Amino acid sequence: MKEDSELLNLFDEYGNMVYRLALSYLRNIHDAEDTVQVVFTKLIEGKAIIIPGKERALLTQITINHCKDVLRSFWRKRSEPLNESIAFTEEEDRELFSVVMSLPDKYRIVVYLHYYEGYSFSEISSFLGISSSAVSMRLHRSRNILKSKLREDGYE
Amino acid sequence: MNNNFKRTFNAVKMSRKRQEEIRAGLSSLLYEKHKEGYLMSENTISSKKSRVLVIAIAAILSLSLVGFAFGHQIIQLLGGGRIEQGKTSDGKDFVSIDAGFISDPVKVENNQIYFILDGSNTNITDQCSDSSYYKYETTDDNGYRHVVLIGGTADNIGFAEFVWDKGGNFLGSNASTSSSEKPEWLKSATSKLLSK
Repeated sequence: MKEDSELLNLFDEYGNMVYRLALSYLRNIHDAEDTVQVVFTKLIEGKAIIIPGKERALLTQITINHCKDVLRSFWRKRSEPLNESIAFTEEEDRELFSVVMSLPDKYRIVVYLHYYEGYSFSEISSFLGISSSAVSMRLHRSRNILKSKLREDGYE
Repeated sequence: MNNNFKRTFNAVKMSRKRQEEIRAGLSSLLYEKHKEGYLMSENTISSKKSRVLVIAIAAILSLSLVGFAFGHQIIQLLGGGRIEQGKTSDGKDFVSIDAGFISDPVKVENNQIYFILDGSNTNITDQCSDSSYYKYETTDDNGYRHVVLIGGTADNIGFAEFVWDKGGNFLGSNASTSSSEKPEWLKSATSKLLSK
């Protein structure tokens, strides 16, 4: 078990990573914030063992597991518009975010993990419990959808 | 698109206020755990519905070392949660368990216990008591053997799941019971399953 200061340092370092991943998965700010709380509480309660150098992967896995639970939950909060509450520096970023978030769940999370977090197909395959070829297929389809939607919106 | 993607999602952050609230909550939780003398020594954890008992973290750490030839792997537990094992970047073996039952493998109606994990809705009331249990066993697509146990009574139900790899090496288990004391049915089952 890590020392208190190390656990809080983990929160400082990875809190926003967990938030972004949860928001990408759940499309709801409140659910994403709740997820951050739940994920780090799990670490404090010793429900996961932290291995030095593996923190990011472990937090990603716990976050994905929790998000799957939330999506299955009857009590899930309703979705709400996201764009207004995020301070994008460029208007085209808002556009891109909006299009990515409009992707179906199974495509959106793969796109986020690959393009933002930089995970490989096999790593994403482990996280999501699907085959690498399914990851590849989902990314391919996502790219086509994104290209098409962004072109429609005049995105450069 | 990659650069724009990075820039776009870099802007996605928690509000400073919410971040500070969550941090304060975590800090407070750490303080409470220390006060209870709980953090370092106990292997019981609370969940919304029941007390969850992670019975095999010690066993996983010692027993699963025999299975490390397989490299990094994540084993999905039938009742929810995962066991992950592999090697760190510096070559050290590790195993972690993300415990907790995502969905109950049983439902209780009119004081009757029904096993629902496999979709069968089997009435298992007669097989469950404080000292006896219902056993369900299956092998998943990756060759891992899962044994799910249901024990206790309708108002004091408990679950456990044990996992072995293809070679018969025990990887780990987790259990959810209504008290922090390990019930008789679970002691008995653990003894039988792990003595083989």
